Amino acid sequence: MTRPLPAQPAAGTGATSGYPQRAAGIANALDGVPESEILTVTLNGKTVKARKGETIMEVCHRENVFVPHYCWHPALSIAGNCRLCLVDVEKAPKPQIACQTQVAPNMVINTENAKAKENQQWMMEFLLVNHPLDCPICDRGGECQLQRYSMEYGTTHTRMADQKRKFIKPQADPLIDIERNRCIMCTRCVRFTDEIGGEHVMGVFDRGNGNYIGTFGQGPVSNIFSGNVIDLCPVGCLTNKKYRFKARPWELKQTQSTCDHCASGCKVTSWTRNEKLYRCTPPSRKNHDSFTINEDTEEFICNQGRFASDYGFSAARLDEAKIIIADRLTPTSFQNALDRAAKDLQAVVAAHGPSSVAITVSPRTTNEEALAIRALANSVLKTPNLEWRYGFASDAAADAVSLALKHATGSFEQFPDVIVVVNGQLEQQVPVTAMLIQEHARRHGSKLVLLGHHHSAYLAAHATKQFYNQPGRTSVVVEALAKAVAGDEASKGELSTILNQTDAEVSALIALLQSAERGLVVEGLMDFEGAMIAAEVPATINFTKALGAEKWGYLPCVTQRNAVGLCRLGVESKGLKPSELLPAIKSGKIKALVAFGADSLTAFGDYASVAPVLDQLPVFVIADYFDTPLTRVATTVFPLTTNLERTGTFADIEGNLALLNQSVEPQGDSRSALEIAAGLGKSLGSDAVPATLESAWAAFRKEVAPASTLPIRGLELEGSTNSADFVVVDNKSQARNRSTSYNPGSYRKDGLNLRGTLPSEALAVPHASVELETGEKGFVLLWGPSVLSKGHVENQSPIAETLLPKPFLEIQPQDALEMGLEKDQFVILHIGDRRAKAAIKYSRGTAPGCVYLTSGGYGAFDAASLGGPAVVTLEPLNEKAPNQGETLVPQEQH
Amino acid sequence: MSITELERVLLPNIEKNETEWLSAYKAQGGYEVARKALGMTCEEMIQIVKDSGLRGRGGAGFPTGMKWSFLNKKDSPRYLCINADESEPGTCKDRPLMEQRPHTLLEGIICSCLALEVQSAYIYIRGEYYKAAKILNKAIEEAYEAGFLGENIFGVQGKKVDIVVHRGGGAYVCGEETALLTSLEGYRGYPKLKPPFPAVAGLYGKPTIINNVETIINIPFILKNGAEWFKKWVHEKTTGLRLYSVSGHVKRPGVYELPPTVTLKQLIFDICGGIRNDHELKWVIPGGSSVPWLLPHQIDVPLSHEGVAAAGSMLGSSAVMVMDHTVCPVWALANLSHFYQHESCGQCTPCREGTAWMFKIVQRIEDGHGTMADLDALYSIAGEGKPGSGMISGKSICALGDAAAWPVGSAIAQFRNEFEEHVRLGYCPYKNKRYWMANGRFVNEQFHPHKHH
Amino acid sequence: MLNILKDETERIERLFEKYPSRRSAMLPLLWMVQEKTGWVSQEAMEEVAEILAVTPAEVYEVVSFYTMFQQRPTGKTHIALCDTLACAICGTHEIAAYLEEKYGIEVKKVTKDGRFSLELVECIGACSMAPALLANEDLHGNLTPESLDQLIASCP
Ligand SMILES: Cc1cc2nc3c(=O)[nH]c(=O)nc-3n(C[C@H](O)[C@H](O)[C@H](O)COP(=O)(O)O)c2cc1C
Ligand code: SF4
Ligand code: FES
Repeated sequence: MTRPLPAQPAAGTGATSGYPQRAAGIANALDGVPESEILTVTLNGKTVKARKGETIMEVCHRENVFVPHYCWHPALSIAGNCRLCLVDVEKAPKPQIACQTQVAPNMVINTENAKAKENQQWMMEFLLVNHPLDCPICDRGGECQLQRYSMEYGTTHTRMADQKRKFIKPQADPLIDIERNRCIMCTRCVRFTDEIGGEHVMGVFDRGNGNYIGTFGQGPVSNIFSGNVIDLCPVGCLTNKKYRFKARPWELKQTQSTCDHCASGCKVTSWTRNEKLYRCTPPSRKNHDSFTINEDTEEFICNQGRFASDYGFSAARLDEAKIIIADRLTPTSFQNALDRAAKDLQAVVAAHGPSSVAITVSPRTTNEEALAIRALANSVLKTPNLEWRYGFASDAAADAVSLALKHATGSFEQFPDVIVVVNGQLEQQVPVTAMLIQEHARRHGSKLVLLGHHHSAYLAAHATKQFYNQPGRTSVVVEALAKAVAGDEASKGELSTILNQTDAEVSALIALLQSAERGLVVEGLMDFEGAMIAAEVPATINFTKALGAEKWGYLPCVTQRNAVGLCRLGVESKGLKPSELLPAIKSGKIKALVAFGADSLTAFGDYASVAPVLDQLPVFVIADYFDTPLTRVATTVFPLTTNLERTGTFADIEGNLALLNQSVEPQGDSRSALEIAAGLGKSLGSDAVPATLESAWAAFRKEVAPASTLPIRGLELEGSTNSADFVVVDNKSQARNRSTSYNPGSYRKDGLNLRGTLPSEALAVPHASVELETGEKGFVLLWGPSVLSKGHVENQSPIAETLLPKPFLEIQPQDALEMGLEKDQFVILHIGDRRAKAAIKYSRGTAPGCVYLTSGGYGAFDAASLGGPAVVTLEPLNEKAPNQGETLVPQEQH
Repeated sequence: MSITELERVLLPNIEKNETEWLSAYKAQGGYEVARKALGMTCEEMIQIVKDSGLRGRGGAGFPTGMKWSFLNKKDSPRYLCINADESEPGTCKDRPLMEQRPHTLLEGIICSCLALEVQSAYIYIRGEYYKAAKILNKAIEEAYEAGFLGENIFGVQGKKVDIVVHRGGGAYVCGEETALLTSLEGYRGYPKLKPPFPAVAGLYGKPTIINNVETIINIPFILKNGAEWFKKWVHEKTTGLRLYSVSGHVKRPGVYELPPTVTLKQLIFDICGGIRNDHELKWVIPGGSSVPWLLPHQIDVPLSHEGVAAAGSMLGSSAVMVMDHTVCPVWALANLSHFYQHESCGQCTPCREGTAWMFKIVQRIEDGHGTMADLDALYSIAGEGKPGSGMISGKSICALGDAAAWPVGSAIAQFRNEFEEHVRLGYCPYKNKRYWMANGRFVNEQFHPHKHH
Repeated sequence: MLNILKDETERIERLFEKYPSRRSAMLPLLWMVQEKTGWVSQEAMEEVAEILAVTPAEVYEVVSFYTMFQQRPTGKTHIALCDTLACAICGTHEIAAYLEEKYGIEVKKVTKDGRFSLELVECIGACSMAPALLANEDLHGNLTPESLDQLIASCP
């Protein structure tokens, strides 16, 4: 993801945490800052320029002067409590903290003289007074900032002769270990959970020397970004429970790669040894001569990426090719399996024609793999049935997503000053994208407008305007809004009726939209069934167009990792529609199926409904990571390499490329889809399928960046292991040093073209087909996909259960009060004759009259069979969940 | 000078400890100054306060008129906070003021609000002052009923003053002005980073003036009698009568209203009757627990900011603690260090770690397990009892860090011999002098009269 | 849903009127709880959190910062005995010893009959009346064995 940095330190959100309120920020270039805003200061004897209102820390950062710091973090508010950054300022009566003190004209700052050094030494001594000297058994050893700073800024001896302070060690969070004795009270974790995590679940308790960090009632740090506190912690207080005591950082190989769980496309570092993944973190950085965790990173990742990237080490992992011999799947060599599959396919094509073959592609397929598979389909097997969207529940949903991606133009590189989010539980669909939106609203002063029938509560806390409508009415709202923006008075009236708002409110909304310099319309494609997005997507695209294509971008949020790349490569069927696949197999129209990834057939791991159908196929070739009921009905099985075992590129929702970089050797005989596709091609007697990664990349590059002569750094596939400045495309680094003026044409200098365009003519908007009658007591039940939901791949992570969001039922406080429902109270949901149990959570994101099941419903309901939004009634139970949801227990069906 | 000769303005009937309710106050011309102030301009009032030379009674002694003129009047709303947190050990003068003269305080607040063009004032009173809070609340009720508070006060259209009593919960640091604000905002009482100063961005981010109770209660008197009247009592730049809280081993501890020309020696030996049991004076803490200690030969100085500073200490909150020769300075320092490590908010490194570390060392010396190296470490942490010296002072977010370090530095400077003696002997010598029970605590003669010589 | 403060909605509303920010009602609400129940339980913190629309962690941060909020039940009469210098040099520890020997009231403990609990606290602003203590809300200074006996006898 692109992380925009503030052009100037923006005002904080006010007293949210009791900490000083101005947000921190890393200084960026002074280009474009008006002369009147510039002043000069002397920094360590050198005259340098600075912007008015900048802090000393920001100036030092730009001038590459390192000032040691613990509490300061560029993404968090300024706490100013560690006092390590005290520097000497001439004429000031006291030393000043660099992180908060603003520069003044002609200030003479010294960060390295004897006075400054003395202060640093003293603060280090204080911090070590109560810090246990247990580095040998501390998990942070080798990448600890306290260790590092004490060597650089501390003294060698200790004068502390008394007992050190000791805290008890409660275990609250299943993922994060707390060792309070090591804590230096920088409060980074507390500020992170409050400001970026969105909920003040961590706190500082007690006071004075006895104060400590923790959670209320020793509850877990329940939020999807909580894992980041591990990296943020400069010492060994918060450590990764899954990594503790397993390895030392210097023994591990670091590979800069990308996460394959969602289309936010975060960059990550895989830390491996002996072909095992030890941990996954945001990109590491160079500290002196070695690479360490970057505790000042702004590139946070979500818990799914951090903790669930190890799915390849599941016990269900396939590691050998298999073919059917006498009705039994029998291990064989890779080449044998290729030959056998080729022979089978050839026979089917010969007997029934190419259209009797279908190829399905997992959304985790890299661009290079997709290109090879496409060549296999188009040039070798010549079948029109090539599709990545067979996992979708309906054609409507699949088509809406493709339509959305085709017209996607938006990106955060535009540095939007107004962001409109239409629907979505974004922090679960595309967590880090949601975080970016929140960050824009919270730190950079972007105005945030939430529209639609479901708003994420995470974003609602930062919304400038928030208007709900009933499910199924979103397209009507955005269409009316489009007209109103164009000046249509009648639509304004219509809007105030649908939104239940005063005319003044509606006018204010329109004025806000019109005031945008650089707007971004974000659409959360949360409607799994597609009944609603079929209308919402074209309406929202039209809306963006009405706002003005030169100023506004459209950014649809899909969860599937490489949806953008696959759409761009046209991995979409020209023959069978997604919904037609299973019927066609049943009817015998499809005789052979080649599945690249079982998640291309069932996203959520509900094998039971699919396997019996697939069993009817005369030829079923599958390449997958795991042994599942699907592989068991195949005729040929290829073991597939996982996220860690192969190299290639993924596109993210903003149209950037990121490199998936191999870090461990493939298990057993696993191969990438590219090798399998190329092998099949070859066995079928063709060399139309690119056989190497390099040739596939070259072909891909020719397609998406035909005009570019620039190298696309990091993508040259030499393997950029241990390269700190792993920058995927050139414009990313430019984005960091951007000037404030926005030039829509300039941000894709390398000519990479993975974006769509807004349509020249307004798109036709189908009539919204959803009208739900909830009756007196009913609610509309909504859910959406989530990166944390159960799924074919996700289930295989050893800690999938832990990561699964607790089954809360989000409901408007007002609705809950009317029903007499308390927080954490259990209710039974009745949907037709089916029931499930969940705990109540008050949320400002759910529209009145609607409830939202956070777990996405998977687990209690089989999402695909439930249909679109359903009407539910709630039956309160006399039972409360202790502080958190409980694992959702499906109730027996009547 | 005897007590009877002294003029009393703020607490004329301190011995009786009776509350002056509205009817009695009005009968004495109460609220007339506020009425008069309604007819004055803000500039006029601030000028009078400036001219009077009134300096804050909370501890720092900052000129009140000057502080008021820093208030950013371009931003609104603005707030006035009355610091009634009175937690500096030794200080106990705001409590009688609030308990006995609640309406005078309210009138002071009204006048100050008018001068500062402020419409809401908060009295932040320490949680332990249950009675004073109740009295204030009742007085406020009376004043609202009488139309002296609320909308259109004294019937003047558009003039509005609201006063709210806000009780603390037991935290010395909340007396620090910015911690007071965060506490009032409903958070942990963490001092804020400065700048911005409260006069620009204080309570709820708005311009705010914070003044001590005694400072504000002086305002109506000054407005009524004029700046010159206030300067009747003057020593250098310290003007007006002020309340001195005297505690410890004097014969007559109490709160005394005195001019700044009175010397510390007069206060102890004349006004308070000298040391109990005619013991020897050992040392004096002249301005609340945070200030450097003075030895008997240093006390012949006027009790003004300048006078006490000349002796090497600070007037602070003018709380005089007197110790006789039975008190072990190391033990006393351990007691004070315990106070500071207990009251540190824990936010910033030097204070959080430094206060606790100092306490551990001092206690260890007192227990007889100290070394000479400990003394050196202590001295380097605490510095010489001067602003900016040592490892804490000047490096912390708020002045609590400084306040914790100064007594340590000065105790060592004044009583180095005794500290070294503790180290050498390996026990506290005072325990041998039979002033101490087996548990090492001071023997109060009231409880154990027979043990005394 | 409210339990401890459920009958106080009117008082709470009046509290909110006093401040421009609801959050400022934090300490008054906690005092209200302590008045009613004698201490601030975890349940109470959750209630206050709900009223103020903050997380329970935020309430606990505040409760644990201020020493006057009791996190455990106290005796009917809670004695806060000042142990800072002015009082300490005038007999705090003799009082503590006296209370323990004569009445079995121990520091940091509740007596078996639930009548008393005792706590040593920092300066309570009664230095010129040293030694001093707070018995629930009432300040008692210049303590002597006789006045202590009287005080204890007068407590329920
Ligand atoms: C740690 C600390 C504690 C303080 N406690 C008090 C106090 O209890 N009462 C008080 O009036 N001022 C106290 N002050 C001083 C206040 O910060 C502030 O200077 C004072 O309230 C200003 O009022 P004045 O100008 O009227 O004195 C304290 C300062 C510090 C650093
Ligand atoms: S100096 Fe002490 S009391 Fe003041 S902010 Fe720092 S830790 Fe808190
Ligand atoms: S980094 Fe400035 S005080 Fe911590």
